[in-house]
Amino acid sequence: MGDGRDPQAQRSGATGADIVSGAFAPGDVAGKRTLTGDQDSPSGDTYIDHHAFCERNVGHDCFMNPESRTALIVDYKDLVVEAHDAYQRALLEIRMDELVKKDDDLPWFVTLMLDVVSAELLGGLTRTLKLLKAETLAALTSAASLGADAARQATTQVSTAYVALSMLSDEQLSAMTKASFDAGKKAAVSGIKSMANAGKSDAKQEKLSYIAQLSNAATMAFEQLRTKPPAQATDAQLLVLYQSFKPPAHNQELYKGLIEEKIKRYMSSGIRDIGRSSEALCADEGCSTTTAIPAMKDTVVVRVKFKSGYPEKFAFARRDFAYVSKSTLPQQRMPETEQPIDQTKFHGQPIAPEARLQMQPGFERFIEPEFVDAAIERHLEVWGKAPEAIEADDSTWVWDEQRSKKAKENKAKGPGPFGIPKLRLPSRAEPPVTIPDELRLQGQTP
Amino acid sequence: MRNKTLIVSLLMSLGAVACSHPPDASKLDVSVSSYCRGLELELHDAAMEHRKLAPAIDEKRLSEDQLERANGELGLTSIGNTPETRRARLRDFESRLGFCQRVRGMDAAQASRFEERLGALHEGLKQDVMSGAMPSAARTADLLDQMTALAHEVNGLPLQH
Repeated sequence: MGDGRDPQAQRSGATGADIVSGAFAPGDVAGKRTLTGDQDSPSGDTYIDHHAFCERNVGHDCFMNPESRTALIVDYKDLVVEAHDAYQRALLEIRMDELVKKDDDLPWFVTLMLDVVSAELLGGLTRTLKLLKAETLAALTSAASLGADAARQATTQVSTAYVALSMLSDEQLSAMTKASFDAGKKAAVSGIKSMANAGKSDAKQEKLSYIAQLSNAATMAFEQLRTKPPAQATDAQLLVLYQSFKPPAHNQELYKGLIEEKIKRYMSSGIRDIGRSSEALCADEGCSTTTAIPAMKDTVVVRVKFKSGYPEKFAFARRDFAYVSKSTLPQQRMPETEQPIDQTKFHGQPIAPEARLQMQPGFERFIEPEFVDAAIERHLEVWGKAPEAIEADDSTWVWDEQRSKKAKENKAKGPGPFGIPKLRLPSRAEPPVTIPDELRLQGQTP
Repeated sequence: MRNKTLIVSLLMSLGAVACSHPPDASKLDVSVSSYCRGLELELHDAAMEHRKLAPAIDEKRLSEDQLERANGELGLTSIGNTPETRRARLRDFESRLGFCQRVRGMDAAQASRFEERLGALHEGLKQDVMSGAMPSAARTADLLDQMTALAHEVNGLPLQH
C-alpha cells in the first residue's frame, strides 16, 4: 500500500452526473474518492468510526437509551435515502431540460433546484420543532396526572426531552442542514466552472450536463445530510430531523410540485430580462416600423444601500437610451451577441449622453431573496462587472416609522455616507409588505 | 420496503394511466424511463458506497462495533454486506433490472445475453455456497459497477410499445 492509499480508490471513473447525462460508458469505475487509512478514522465516516454524538457525550440533550438512539439513526438514514430517491425521480420525471427553454437559464438552475430541498427542509424543521414541543408538553401534563412509579419515570424522561427540545432553536437546526446543501452547491458551482472551461459542446449535451451536475450535487447534499447528523447531532436535534423527514414529507409529488413552482417563479423573477433588449419608440401616433426609433432597454442589477442604514437589498434597474432620429444611430452595425456587453456602447460606438433617457439606473423592483444570487451571477455574466451600489432614500417610508426616522436622522447628518449615485425610487413607492388597514397609522394613506 | 413501495407506486401509476385515461404513451414513457434511470443511479451510488468503505472493511481495520455500523450503512445505501441483507437487496435490484429489461425492445439474442450477464453478476455478488464467504467489498463495488453498466445499456434501448 506504500503511502496507505488504496490504489483502486484513486482511480477516476463515472460519477452520477455521467450517468444522468448518458455520458457514462460501461467499464467506468464509480466514485472519485481518495481514501486514506487513518487510524483514528478507518472508514472515513464519523458515525461508523466514532458512533453517535450522544454515545460520546453526556448532557441534558442526550436523553435516549442506546438502543432507541441506534434505531432512530437507522430510521433517519432510511428516510433521507427515500427523500433523495424521491428528489432524483422528480428531477428525472419533470424533464427539466424541456421546461427550461432558454439555455442561458440552466447554470442558475443547478443551484436554485438545490434550494428547493433546503427550503422545504428548513420549513419542515421549524414546523416539526413546534409540534414536538407541543406534543411533549401535552405528554408531560398527561403523565404528571398519574401517580404510579412508571408514570413518574416516564414523566422524568419526557420532561428531559421537553427541556432539551425547548432549548433547541430553528437557527441551530438550519445551520446543521444548510451546511449539507452548501457543500452540494459548492460542488455544483465548481462542476459548472469546469464545464465552462472545457468549452461548449452541442446544445443537447450541454443541457444534460447541467442536469447531471444538479444530480451529482444533490447526491452529495443528501449524503451529507444522511451521514453528518448521526455523528454530530444531539438526541434532541436528531429527533426533530427524523420527524421532519417522516412521510408524507419529502415525497416525489411534493418535490415535483416544488420544482415546477420554482421554475415558474424563476421565469417571472426578472432574471431573464437582465441584458439589453430593444423596443420601438414612436414620436407620434401611428408611426410605422420604418419611422420608429429604436429605444434600448438595459436591465441591470443594483445594490441598494438605504439612507437609514438598514440592510442593503438588490433590485432590478433600467438604464435606457434612445436616438432622436435614425440619422443619429450608429452607422456601423456590429453584431452584438458577445457577452459581456459594454454598457457604454451600442454596436461598438459610445452612447452619446443625449441619447440616455436617464443617466442613473431607474428603479424597477426589488429582487426576491431566493433569486438574488442567481441575478447577481447573471448580471456578472451579461455586463461583466459587479452590480453598482446605489443609495436610496427611505426617509419617506412612513409605514416603517423607526426606519423612516433613522433615515431622516442620517440625512440630517449630511450628504450620503456612501459617496454613490442616488436611486430614483418611484414617487409613490409601494411598501415592501402589504399593511392591513387596521395596522395603518391614523391618516396614513395606503 | 422502500423499493417495494417504489415498485408498487410505479405499477399503480401504470395502472392508473392504463385504466382511467386513454393510453398516454409519453407520460408512461417518462415514468418508466425515470424509474429505470433511478435504478441506474441507485446502482451507481451503491458501488460508490461500497468502494468508499472497501479499504476499511477488506483490510479488517474496523472493530466489531464499527463493522456493525458499516454493515448497517451498506445495507441501506448499497447492496448489503451481510448474507441476509445481501440476499434481499440483490433480489430487489435484479427484479427491478428485470422490469427495465422487459419494457425495452430486445430481441431473443439480446435477452439471452442479458440473462447470462445478470446470472454471472448474481453468482459473483452472492455469498459463496461452499465456503460461506461473502465477496470482498472491493469486488462487490466492481460487480456493482458492472451491474450499473448493464442497466445503462438496457436503458439505452428503445421502449417497447
